[in-house]
Amino acid sequence: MYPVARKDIFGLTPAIYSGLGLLAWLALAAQFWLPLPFRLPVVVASLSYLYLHRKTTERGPKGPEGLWYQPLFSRRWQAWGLAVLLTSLYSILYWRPSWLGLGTGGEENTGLIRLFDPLSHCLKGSPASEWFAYGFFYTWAVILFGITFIRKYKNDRYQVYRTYSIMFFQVAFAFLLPEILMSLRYPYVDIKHFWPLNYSFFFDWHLDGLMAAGKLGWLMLFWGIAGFTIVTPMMTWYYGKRWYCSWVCGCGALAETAGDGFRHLSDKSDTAWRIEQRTIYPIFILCIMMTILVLYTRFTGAETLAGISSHSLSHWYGFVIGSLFSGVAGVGFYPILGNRLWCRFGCPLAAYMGLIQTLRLKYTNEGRPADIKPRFRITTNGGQCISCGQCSNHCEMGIDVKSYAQRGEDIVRASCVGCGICSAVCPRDVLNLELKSEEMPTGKV
Amino acid sequence: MHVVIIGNGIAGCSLATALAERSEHSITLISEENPYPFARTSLMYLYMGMVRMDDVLIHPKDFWKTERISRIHDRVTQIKPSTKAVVLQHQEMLHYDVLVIATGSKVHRPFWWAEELQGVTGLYHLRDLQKIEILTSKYPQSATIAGGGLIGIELAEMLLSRGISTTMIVRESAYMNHLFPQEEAVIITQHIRKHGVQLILEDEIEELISQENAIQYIRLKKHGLLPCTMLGVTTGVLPDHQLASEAGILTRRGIVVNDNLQTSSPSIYAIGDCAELQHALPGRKTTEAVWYSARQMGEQLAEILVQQRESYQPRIWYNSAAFFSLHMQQYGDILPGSSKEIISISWQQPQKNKSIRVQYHSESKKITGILCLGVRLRHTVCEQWLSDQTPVEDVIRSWIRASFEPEFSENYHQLFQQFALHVLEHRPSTPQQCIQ
Ligand SMILES: Cc1cc2nc3c(=O)[nH]c(=O)nc-3n(C[C@H](O)[C@H](O)[C@H](O)COP(=O)(O)OP(=O)(O)OC[C@H]3O[C@@H](n4cnc5c(N)ncnc54)[C@H](O)[C@@H]3O)c2cc1C
Ligand code: SF4
Ligand code: SF4
Ligand code: SF4
Repeated sequence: MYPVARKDIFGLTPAIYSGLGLLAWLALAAQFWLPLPFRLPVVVASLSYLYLHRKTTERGPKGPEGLWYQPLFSRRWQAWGLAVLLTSLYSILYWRPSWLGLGTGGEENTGLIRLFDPLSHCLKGSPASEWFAYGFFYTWAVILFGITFIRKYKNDRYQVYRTYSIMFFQVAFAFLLPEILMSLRYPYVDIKHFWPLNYSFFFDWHLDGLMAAGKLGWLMLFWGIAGFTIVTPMMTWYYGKRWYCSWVCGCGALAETAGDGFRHLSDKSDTAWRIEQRTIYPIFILCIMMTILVLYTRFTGAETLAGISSHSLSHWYGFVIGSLFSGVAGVGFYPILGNRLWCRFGCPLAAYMGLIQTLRLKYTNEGRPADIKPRFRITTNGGQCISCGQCSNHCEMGIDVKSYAQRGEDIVRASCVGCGICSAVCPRDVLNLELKSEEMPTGKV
Repeated sequence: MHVVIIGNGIAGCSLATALAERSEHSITLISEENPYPFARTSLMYLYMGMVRMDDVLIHPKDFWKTERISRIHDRVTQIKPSTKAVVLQHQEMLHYDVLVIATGSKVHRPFWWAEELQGVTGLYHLRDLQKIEILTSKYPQSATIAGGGLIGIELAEMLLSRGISTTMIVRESAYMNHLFPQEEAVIITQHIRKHGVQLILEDEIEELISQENAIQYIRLKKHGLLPCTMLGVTTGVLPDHQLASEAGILTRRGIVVNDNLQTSSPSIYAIGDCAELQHALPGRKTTEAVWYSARQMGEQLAEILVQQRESYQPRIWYNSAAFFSLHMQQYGDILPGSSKEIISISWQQPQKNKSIRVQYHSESKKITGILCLGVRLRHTVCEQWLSDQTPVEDVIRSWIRASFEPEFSENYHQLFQQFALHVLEHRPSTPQQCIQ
């Protein structure tokens, strides 16, 4: 028998929770006899229960537990299978939503999407779209896997608080608020989704929508502009990019919860670092150029600038970067390339914040007063590192944390999203995410 | 100049890289264990599947392409000081100008452990890990560990991770109370038990009973016969000085070295676990089998060899360990028992596994040691206090500076500080303890 009894998450006795488990299976099987409005709640409740139950109950003698032994988390065929499944689902979602049962041309929804009609009616008074269903799944995943994440790191308050935060922002700002706005006949806006991550912010249809929505629309327009001109630089300057990537962002929310088990798959090699720098900044520049072009067209009416058509550039950016990279590959490749593929190699907002995050370091390097340390950095505690490699292995951004720690150097990397997992897993408590601007003595002893 | 280093552990590896940075010497790093230097401290995480071999290499493989260090994966069978050469098992003899022995430790083998007996293993070398992997590949129901040291507890965690019920036989009355004060030892003992280790305290093995050369039972002095099909022996490590003593170099417990880390043979040095200091430094042992000392010896010998340093001067004694999820840090000397000269201020929250202890000299009031469980202290600050022999009052007043806690964590340091200030105001010259 495994000597450590893991308590059931709901604190139930084994008999009751296996009874409930059976009930959950029965309820799933009984779908087709249930009236439509009950189906989604029953499916969600049953599957959530079965998942949490499995995650938290005792298991008998078994094989090794570690990540690199588990087929799904170590790039064996099961992982490839999951990757194929996820990428296919994303492709269907983007390009063949009718396969999921989306009613086209005024027809009623069928299949999967029909399950969401009652909830959609409830929230905004119209049938569900494929994006409504997707948003629901996404939010559900963030909550469900967020719960297991919080249990896993329950002794680390930083992890617990930031996970509550991403769960909150996902539910309230990414899922509910836009739907409610729509029900009030306002445009669909996720107010925490800033340009340049939200690359379509300056597209005609979006600006027109906002401007047509009266005072609230104008407010949102100004908020969106303030978001990338004031809020993001300020917050990043003081707290590092983690304030957004690990506390607010929806992509980060999925990566940190559903993607947590895949974090060790990110490539730590120098080659990967070189590729990273050669993709993330060009994409950021491309995004800026596209936005300038789109605005130029809006204000001058000219379709092209220097021979580039604004329409086709924004179309291709949306297709390649917006859909293929951030969606299909970004999530679909979790089981192969880790949970932050998009955040590391693609996200233009990450590039922008990363530059700000390391700006202060550049100051110190260029002969400015040496006591201006970057505010956000990961400090290492003397020479206490035992080179065990756990931190680097767990870094989802592929940073070789160990190589800094064993030299006693601070870690200030543009890509660090401040998830704090390196610090949480270090068996010798060597790493600390610090904001102190005064010089605290660290470094190798 | 050709510098040959036997052993690519943290001592040998640190020396090689530091020397390559500082000099033009050609350097050869020899080891029979693994072609690339790796972290021995990570053996348990390798077994548990938390990291792979490539993750625990001290430097990535590419690093070694660019450095001017050649590596040889072979065993040294003999040192010939007279002709300045080392004999290798599979390759040609190698000449050196300077030889550094960094052969580390070997597992201590108590009298009852016959070498060829199956089912008994230590935990030090990669070979041991392979042996444990084979022994546990069929998931035996249970295993026993003899000796409750830091490595024993790691072995217990490894076995438990595969669902093997684990019994630990410890000579002391609480886990490690010969090194830690009773309060801390009790917290650790309870924590280990909570994680599922069955502890047998105040007992030791008398003999092993085997059948067809495989272990069947162990006989304990007090508890009598215990069925056992797998036994891990973690009763300590000994400096591996075999090569040196065979070559006529002076050895005692380890390879004896002077203040320059030089052995009795002038062009031969010894560093790391295998070295024994001729003159112990104040408050320190002559052999220290820990990572940090081995690393410092390697780094400092590089400076000594290029004449940038006079002698080996280790920093303030420091050690750390993890007992499952409970982390320990120690700075300076900690006296486990009580004495007239040394006074403790100790603060505990046993149900939360938190403990902070500061020890100081009863007359001079100078701080002598810090021990904590479940909280994090800032190394540089603690080291400064200890090397400056700061008066305890000043230490307590600026205690918060030493906090290395992550953001949002509960402020145990403040609780400790309040208690300690109170103590110092009222009864500064008697041991004081607060259990919250
Ligand atoms: C499981 C475990 C956990 C530990 N955890 C900690 C910890 O948390 N903190 C801490 O401070 N310390 C810890 N230690 C102790 C620490 O690992 C050692 O102090 C340190 O590794 C010693 O380094 P070294 O370079 O002196 O020797 P080693 O690391 O032992 O390296 C010596 C090398 O020399 C090779 N060698 C020996 N003889 C020959 C020969 N004749 N020919 C060729 N090669 C040879 C050996 O194979 C070996 O590879 C731990 C030890 C173990 C086993
Ligand atoms: S890198 Fe970009 S997508 Fe990823 S969490 Fe940060 S802002 Fe969001
Ligand atoms: S360095 Fe640490 S905090 Fe930064 S991304 Fe990597 S694991 Fe997260
Ligand atoms: S996890 Fe901690 S001890 Fe291990 S390599 Fe990283 S910093 Fe060093």
